[in-house]
Amino acid sequence: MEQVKIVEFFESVLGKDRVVTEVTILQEYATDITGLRMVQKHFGWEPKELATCILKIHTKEEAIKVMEFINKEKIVSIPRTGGSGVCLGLETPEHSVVIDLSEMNEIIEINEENLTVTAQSGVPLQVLEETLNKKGYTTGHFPQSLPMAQMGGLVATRSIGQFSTLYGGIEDLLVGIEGILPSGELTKIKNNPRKSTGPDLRHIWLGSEGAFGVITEVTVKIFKLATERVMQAFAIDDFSKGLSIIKEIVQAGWKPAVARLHDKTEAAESYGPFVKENEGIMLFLSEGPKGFANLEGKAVEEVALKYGARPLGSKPLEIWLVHRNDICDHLDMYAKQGAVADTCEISAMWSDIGKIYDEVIERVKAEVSHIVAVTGHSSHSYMQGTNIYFMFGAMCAPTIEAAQKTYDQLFGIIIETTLKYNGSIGHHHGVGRYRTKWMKEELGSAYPMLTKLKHAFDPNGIMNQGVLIPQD
Amino acid sequence: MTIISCIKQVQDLDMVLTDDWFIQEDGKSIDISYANKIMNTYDETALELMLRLVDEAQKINTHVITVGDKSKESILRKALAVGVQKAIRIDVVEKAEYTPSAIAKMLASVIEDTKDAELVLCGRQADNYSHGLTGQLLAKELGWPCFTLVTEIEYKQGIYHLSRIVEEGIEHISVKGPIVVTVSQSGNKFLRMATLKKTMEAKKQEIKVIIPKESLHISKKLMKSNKNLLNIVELKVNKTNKHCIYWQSREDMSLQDQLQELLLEYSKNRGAIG
Ligand SMILES: Cc1cc2nc3c(=O)[nH]c(=O)nc-3n(C[C@H](O)[C@H](O)[C@H](O)COP(=O)(O)OP(=O)(O)OC[C@H]3O[C@@H](n4cnc5c(N)ncnc54)[C@H](O)[C@@H]3O)c2cc1C
Repeated sequence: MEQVKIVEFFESVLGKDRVVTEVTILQEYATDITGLRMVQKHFGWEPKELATCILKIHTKEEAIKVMEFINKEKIVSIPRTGGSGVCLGLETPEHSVVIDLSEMNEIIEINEENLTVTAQSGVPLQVLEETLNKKGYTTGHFPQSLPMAQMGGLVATRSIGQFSTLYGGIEDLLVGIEGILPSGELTKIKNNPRKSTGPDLRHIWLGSEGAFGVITEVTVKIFKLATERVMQAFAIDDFSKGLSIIKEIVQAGWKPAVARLHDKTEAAESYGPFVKENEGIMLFLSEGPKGFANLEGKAVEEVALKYGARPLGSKPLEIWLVHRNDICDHLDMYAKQGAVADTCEISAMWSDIGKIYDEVIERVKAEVSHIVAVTGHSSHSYMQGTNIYFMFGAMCAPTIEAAQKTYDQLFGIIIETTLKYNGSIGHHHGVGRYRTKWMKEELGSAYPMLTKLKHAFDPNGIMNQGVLIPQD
Repeated sequence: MTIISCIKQVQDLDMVLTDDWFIQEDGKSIDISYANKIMNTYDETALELMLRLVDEAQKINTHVITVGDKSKESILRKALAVGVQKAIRIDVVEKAEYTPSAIAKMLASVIEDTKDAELVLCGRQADNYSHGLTGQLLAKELGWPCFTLVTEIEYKQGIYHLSRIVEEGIEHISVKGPIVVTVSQSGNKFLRMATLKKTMEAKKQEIKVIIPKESLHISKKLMKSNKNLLNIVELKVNKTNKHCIYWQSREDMSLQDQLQELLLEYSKNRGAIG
């Protein structure tokens, strides 16, 4: 079908105002905020391929009509909410359309009996959190992108928040969900505390990254605001000791909402006056009903001291709480200095995670000639293992190609090392288009399950084509 | 020809929590000891401008100077790591924060001893005490012209082309050295990053330590009063008086006109709102 005709159809459904075709806006929507693109933009990168239009959806009825049409006409579509993705998941192939759900942003119900909130896909997490706080509740979900991310995107990327040890990731928070398949079928998974009625279908949406359809509405758990908080920090002279401390705490059954171990480079950079040379820093925050936080705080302290950690009081936590999302205000800070900078978060079992950290740091320093810094922290821990959030910055010749090469080299080292130790190549940012090249290795013999799912839900291969599964 | 950047270590005030901006019991100090020690941000910009001049014309020597004890050397090493050739520390153990005139004298004595110094850059002010004086006092000591609030420097055939911010906009000046400029911030002038290799190398590089001449040293008397915060009797936190105006849509006037009227009223009667 001709592009003009396509646009005309969408205008007939949404009205002219909500079908955006302005080139400058299409350019803005042509990518997400992956570190690679930010530095490439600084070197003159411009999107070669633009969507035909952006559809500002307001109702599920509109979304159904749109989905039926794109499926019939086989138009590649990119669902989108907050736009804070970091794996090239929002890039727009030519002749695609962006299904923008950010204006579907109504908080439908706060249910104080069942402790749930139902919200449309485009509700910004920050708005939801502030609304709940006023009523004495919290989502318990605090990704660093809190000021940007929206509910649909959070579910679609299997996101996680900074208080995850206590509240869990989005997969632990999601109660029910509604979405539309490319066929136009509206599907609703009702709210239940638990069930045993076949596979948990919510997991099709969790981490779907727009590849199976669009999420229109989610119901997530809410929690009463904690009455007490205990915050404590420790300096630790060895990263592996820090890992052992966290392992011992969580395996004993404690769940300090925040349990972070920053390596010596991050400690010096962010908490310089607190730490001595070569010391890392650990941050713990316990919260809950009266009495709980103190009890847990004491247990945490006991383990930390047993390993020789040096108590630093609560100030580092206070600083972290205030500044933890500052980066959202200057996302292109490093790119503007011509640095290829980004983060890469992986996870592995306790038996392997330390090896991955050591090897990545060593390899990057040895192999990347213009490295500025490579650092890592563990920030989401489980009984069986933890994540490492690597941060890197490197200089390169000021060209788009050189940036790509440096970025690929850095990511390559982290992901190769992770796979070598059977870790997972993505702990919470998703796959997007960038990490697809490693997905066969990541999933191993389970890979066909993903391709079959994709085929079943999206037989025409139009939904966010190129994410999750590499395109031939 | 040699260009010199004067740099200062300060504490990262962005890190200080709102609740910690309170006056200690002595009535004269605020405890910000936990804030990271960084290079003053205006000095970083000045340093970047210096490095950009070198990018354009290779035959320029670059020096950085700071005043203070050994704990201040990290910023000198950072400067070496981003490509400055020589780092000098004027060894002063005492806290010299409140004495821009003494600092200017010490800097001047080192600069005077630098044979072919042509251009000296300072940040317009330091983040911590914001005196905004050192650069200008230094120019006075050296007897050189001083150009303040500079955002851009170009060097072509012996002439410095400066851009500086003035109330009316941007002023362009062409001038011969020697000159002192104080640098203000402008877009995309972040100090470049040092690679890890250069950072490691800079850790081993020599830093020239100069003991200031007795006559230039901050006097004992000054230091004594310095301890009690020079001339500061009391620090107070001013409560800002903010209020918010809600506009009702009016049939007789557009929002744009309402805003214009309000701004007009404000300019006539500064401070009445805001
Ligand atoms: C500074 C920064 C910090 C971050 N910190 C964290 C963190 O702490 N934890 C974390 O988990 N992530 C983090 N992220 C990553 C990102 O914020 C999350 O992935 C977030 O979940 C994306 O939400 P969004 O609304 O912005 O989605 P978008 O960026 O709009 O979309 C992300 C993906 O989801 C798909 N999608 C979006 N909406 C829908 C929908 N309604 N239906 C179907 N598919 C949809 C898109 O097609 C895309 O593939 C961070 C990102 C930045 C830039």
